[in-house]
Amino acid sequence: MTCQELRACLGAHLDGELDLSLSLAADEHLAFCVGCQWAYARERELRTLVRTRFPREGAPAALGERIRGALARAARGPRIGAPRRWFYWAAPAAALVLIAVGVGLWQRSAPPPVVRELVAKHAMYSRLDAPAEIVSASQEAVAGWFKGKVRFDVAVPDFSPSGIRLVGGRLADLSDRQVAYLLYEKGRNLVSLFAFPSRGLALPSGEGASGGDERFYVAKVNGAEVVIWTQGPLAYALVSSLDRESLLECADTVWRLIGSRTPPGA
Amino acid sequence: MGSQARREEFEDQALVHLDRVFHLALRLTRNRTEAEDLAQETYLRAFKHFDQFDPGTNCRAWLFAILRNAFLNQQKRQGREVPGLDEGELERFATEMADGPGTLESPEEELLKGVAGAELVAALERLPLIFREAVVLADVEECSYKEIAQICGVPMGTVMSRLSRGRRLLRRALETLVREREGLRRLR
Repeated sequence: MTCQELRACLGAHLDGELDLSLSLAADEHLAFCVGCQWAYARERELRTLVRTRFPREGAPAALGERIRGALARAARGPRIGAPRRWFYWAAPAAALVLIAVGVGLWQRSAPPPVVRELVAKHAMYSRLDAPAEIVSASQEAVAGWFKGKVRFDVAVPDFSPSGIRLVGGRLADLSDRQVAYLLYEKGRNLVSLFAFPSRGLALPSGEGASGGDERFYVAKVNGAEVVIWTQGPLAYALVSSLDRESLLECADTVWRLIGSRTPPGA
Repeated sequence: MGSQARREEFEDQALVHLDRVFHLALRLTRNRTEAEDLAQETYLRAFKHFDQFDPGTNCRAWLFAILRNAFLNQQKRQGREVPGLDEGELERFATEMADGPGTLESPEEELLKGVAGAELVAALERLPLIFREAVVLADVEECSYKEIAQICGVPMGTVMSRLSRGRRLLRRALETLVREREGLRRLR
């Protein structure tokens, strides 16, 4: 075995993963080659360092319970009123979207990455069992839950006049920043409202919207309607498979709620 | 098997590995919230396909394989490039590594002696996915090469070369971090 050959399998030798003949050949080489002995010691040192000092974090205590709950629900199958029904609705919808994309009807110009990420989050959470960390229909309870968890005030709007009810909230991430995520539902549809600091994010604007409301950017991505806007230091995004009109109505509700809280010029 | 018994059987076999599953999810996503969601998704998928699990085999490796697939699918769905699977990037790293082992002088060895756990994590997070996962599976989770090959769906030879490159990249990242720390100390 040459030095080069040995160096190529040094780690495997150390891991005890070489077959017997190679392992013997490696030992034989190591017995007389000082340079390779040194390289072997270095490799061993790093391996020991990682094995002994790498912090092996355990799962948070609540995660086990959350998974047990999700498994119990999965074992029972979908129930009326269970969040899982979103999945059964989303799957055929996603299939339709794929077909539509396949024939090139949509997606002529790709939406900005932020928009795609938001839609992907919405789709992911609509497939999760019990995606909310706080489950409550109370606006105060949900708003209070976010206190101390995110560095901004979370306004929880009331969409009940449109038949959209509050399910709860959770923390999420968007391009490595913290997002307050509110979940609502109307019938079988999940309505996602994301709020996050807009600074430094390349967000699309509603300017020049043809015949639309210039406050809001609207798009249809992978079958979901998206409405995004910036108000004060925060950006808001609504994502749902509801129709665009309903979603714009929700956006207007949020806009007025935020507007009533932030005095002009503040 | 009734659905209740099936679930209990699954929980007995699979849920004992939750700490390890969460930890791998954390190392792949580099984000706690995403890691929790990924762990949950992994268990739901595993439960759905529990009949495909061969009871005599390693349940942890089976869960790891499901987790890795779920993670890559999620990345693709979110329109994120799957990091480290790009040939150009691999080529660049391979070239960077062309100087091979043993180029650093022995004083560097002393440097690594004071490395803290948090620095190991930070150094590892700088590695592209395929090298990061190889190092985590081999050196943190202490999986065999055969298990890693199954989890990542690559031949044993590929495991060996990724691991070898991964460890060299990790050493380099660690040395950079330690030098940065030492540099700061001298400035104070």
